[in-house]
Amino acid sequence: MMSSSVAIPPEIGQFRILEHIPLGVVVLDAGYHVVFWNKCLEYWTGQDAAGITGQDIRKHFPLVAEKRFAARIASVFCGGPPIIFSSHIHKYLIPATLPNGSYRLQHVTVSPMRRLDGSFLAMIMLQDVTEVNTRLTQRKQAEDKLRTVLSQLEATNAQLEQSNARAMRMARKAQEANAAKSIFLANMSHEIRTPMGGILGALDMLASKEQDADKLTLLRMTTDSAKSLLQIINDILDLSKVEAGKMALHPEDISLETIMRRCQDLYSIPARNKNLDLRLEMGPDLPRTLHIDPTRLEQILRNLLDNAIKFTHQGWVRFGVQYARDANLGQALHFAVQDSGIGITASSLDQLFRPFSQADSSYAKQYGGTGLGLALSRRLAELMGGTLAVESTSGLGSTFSLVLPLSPPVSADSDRSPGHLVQPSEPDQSQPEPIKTALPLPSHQPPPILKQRTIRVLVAEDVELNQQYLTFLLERQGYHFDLVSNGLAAVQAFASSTYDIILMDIQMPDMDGLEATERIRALERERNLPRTPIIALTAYAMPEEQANFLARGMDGFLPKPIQGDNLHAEMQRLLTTSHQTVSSAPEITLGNGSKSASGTATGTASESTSESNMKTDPGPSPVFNLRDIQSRFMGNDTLWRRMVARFLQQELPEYRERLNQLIHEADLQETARLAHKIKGALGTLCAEPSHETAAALEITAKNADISATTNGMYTLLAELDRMPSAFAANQADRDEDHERATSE
Amino acid sequence: MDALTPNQLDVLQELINIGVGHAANTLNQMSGQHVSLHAPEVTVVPIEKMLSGEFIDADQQVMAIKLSFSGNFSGMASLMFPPESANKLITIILGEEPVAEDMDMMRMGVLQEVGNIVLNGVMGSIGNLLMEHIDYLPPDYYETSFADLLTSEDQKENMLLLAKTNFFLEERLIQGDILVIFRLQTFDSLLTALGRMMAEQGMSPNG
Repeated sequence: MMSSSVAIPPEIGQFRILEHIPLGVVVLDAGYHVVFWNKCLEYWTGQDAAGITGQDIRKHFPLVAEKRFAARIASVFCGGPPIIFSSHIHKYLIPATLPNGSYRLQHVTVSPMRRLDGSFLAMIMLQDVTEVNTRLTQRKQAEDKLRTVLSQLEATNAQLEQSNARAMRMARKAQEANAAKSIFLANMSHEIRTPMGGILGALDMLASKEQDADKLTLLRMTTDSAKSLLQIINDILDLSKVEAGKMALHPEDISLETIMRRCQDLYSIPARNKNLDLRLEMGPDLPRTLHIDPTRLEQILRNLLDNAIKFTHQGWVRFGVQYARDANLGQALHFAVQDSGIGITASSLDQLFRPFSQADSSYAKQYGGTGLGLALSRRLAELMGGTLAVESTSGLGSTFSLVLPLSPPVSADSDRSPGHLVQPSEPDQSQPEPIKTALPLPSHQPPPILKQRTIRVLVAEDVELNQQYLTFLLERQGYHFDLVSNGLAAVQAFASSTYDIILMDIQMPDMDGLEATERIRALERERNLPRTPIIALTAYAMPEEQANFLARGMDGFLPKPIQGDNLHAEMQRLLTTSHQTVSSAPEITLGNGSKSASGTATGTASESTSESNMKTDPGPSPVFNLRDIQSRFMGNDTLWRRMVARFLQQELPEYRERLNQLIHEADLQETARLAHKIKGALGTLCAEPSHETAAALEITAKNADISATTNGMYTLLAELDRMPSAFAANQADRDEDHERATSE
Repeated sequence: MDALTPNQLDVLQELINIGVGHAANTLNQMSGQHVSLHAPEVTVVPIEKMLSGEFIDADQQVMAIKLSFSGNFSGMASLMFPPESANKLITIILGEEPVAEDMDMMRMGVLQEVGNIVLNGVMGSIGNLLMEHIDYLPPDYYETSFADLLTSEDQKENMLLLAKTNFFLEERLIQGDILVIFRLQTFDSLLTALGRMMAEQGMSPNG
């Protein structure tokens, strides 16, 4: 659309063809006047051709005057080569907005057109490359975004790696902290138990020498307090261990009845002191053997029994176990401890299992205790896969129920398979009666009788108070011993003398117990000596450390503070083992190895007590010392036989009965008197091991060591039980010899 | 066809340097950056000899801007970049690293304009020498081998003028080759024009 008022250049006709092409076309003369302006440009710019034709384009579109364009366009007016203005560099030459407000990007070519008069026109063609560029831009933006996302991803990844590294560092720190906690626990355990051991030992010594009744009462009170404190410390350590996940269970195949009977024995005296009827009830269909951590089971039961007796003033305490089927646990054992005590109010029941809480805080003053026991018991029960619950009526009593999953014994060759159930009410006569002992012996067999007087002990302990206490314990048990103060001295003593057993403290100056043990083991190998049992004495009570002791060559372990009866039991256990495996020169025996006389009930019992030894051992130590008989009766063994027979028939049954009574009566004076009497008789009959056992019993009873005395009574009973069969066997041998002599 | 005398070659080289100088100015204005353009040596040989590989690797891939001209004076001028230099050039001119997808379009746009500036400078100088109007075709862009670019011309016997150029942008070296192909009669016209100009300047054509 052209204005008629504007002079139309003569060449205009040749541009008409460009009017409707989809490119912006503008033709300028050398004075920048618009000669031609096509429809496309009208549409793009809103500027109609009539309004701009003949006008200086630079007035309408000042961009054209910019040097970057004008300098080059000028060359075209001189007939120079065509020019390109790239959209990538210049964006556009004639601004033209799009509906979205952005400018059309233009690829511009400026070409010379020779006029008839020889001058040049510049034909500017503008190609809209917005879409192409937009696509490119969009793609670029998308790619930029992708790059951003990628870099963010990389950053995130880096952060993740950092977090990972941090987590690893934290985990490492946590492990270190955990290790530190374990060490702390072990150290606490050591640091607290060591002085406690000293305190208890010193109190024990004082009490044994003290005659004054008032002072003895004070000493007993102090000892009780110290023992309570030790119990609290042990509970706290145990609880921390459970909570830290450090408590490891050590299940083994054990006799259920043995554990239950032991608990009964332990609490029979406290119950009797309070005039309470303590009754054990074993349910039907119980497995004889089960696979469980006996220490922890007993810990729970003792806690419950402790409480039951503590909180019951009159009436009874019943405890027992039944086979049960639990909805969650399947086959289970249901232990119950029931009392007719003060009971617990409903509102207090919730708090009962929380640490440091007793049902009524005022109880603490009246009954003592920290309230740790039940919290620990429940944790232990849970650790063993079971539950501990309580039902109670205030004023009428409480029932604590411990339900534990039933694990069958692991030993495949056990003749006491889980399917083999016993009826405790009708004991199987072919089985020995459960052996009762007041001692937490590792083996539930009574300790075989050993000649204490001939046993030489080497003791390595650096702390003077502990030395004194061990001296006291060993003297009381009649051991012969040498005392050294460090590991090096222990090795030297071992090298220059002979010992049956060694008690080795772990922490000692110069050379610690572990190194000393290793050197002693090396010496044994060097000199081809039999292995001497070594017992570790230490307050280090962590299971992993115990395992370490055994791995480093020790045979046994006694936690400090050392209890006299535990020491004796552990020594006896190892000496028995050692004796069995080492002894190669049995003394002249009477009645050993013969199967001809095993008819009586007592004989059966005595054999069964040592049945576990029969496979590896020529047999238990001889009942009678033949050499002594020869010398003392000057070869007149007929007299000896007559005396033994009379003893077995007339005295032995009475002694056995009396001993069985005394085991439950705890009459130390009477026990000492009886032991003295039996000792005399046995000495006369040359029944050497039992004579020595009776002598030891007399000492422990006189020293008022209740547990050692109880232990001694069981041992003496077992020893006495061996006599009839041994005598019968000897008789049979003699008859055989006699017949042979006669026939010859 | 006679070979150029050293004097003729010197004059031709000077002419091309002037044209390149103009181009450099234009590039400076356009990019706002300091651009130095040098055409250090000029070689004039028949195409066949050029294809022998003596002067340039005929198989190398190039990005080329081609400005064809026709009429009395015909031939074509071309600016060729090895790909690496082309990319470097684009990055400097645009001030950003082109992403792979954009590369083709941007390279084409930018190289077209840069080539246009350089070739216009060179051809402006030659046009001035010839004192004759040259009709140009719109500039074109190729990505091809050097040999293909050369043989796209009809006449194998054409003379070929090769000027190796160096761009220095932002102290970075960019290499490019300026190639001008003249038809034989055009080359003769060039020689005549050279002779006339040298005579005006009092120079000996054989100097």
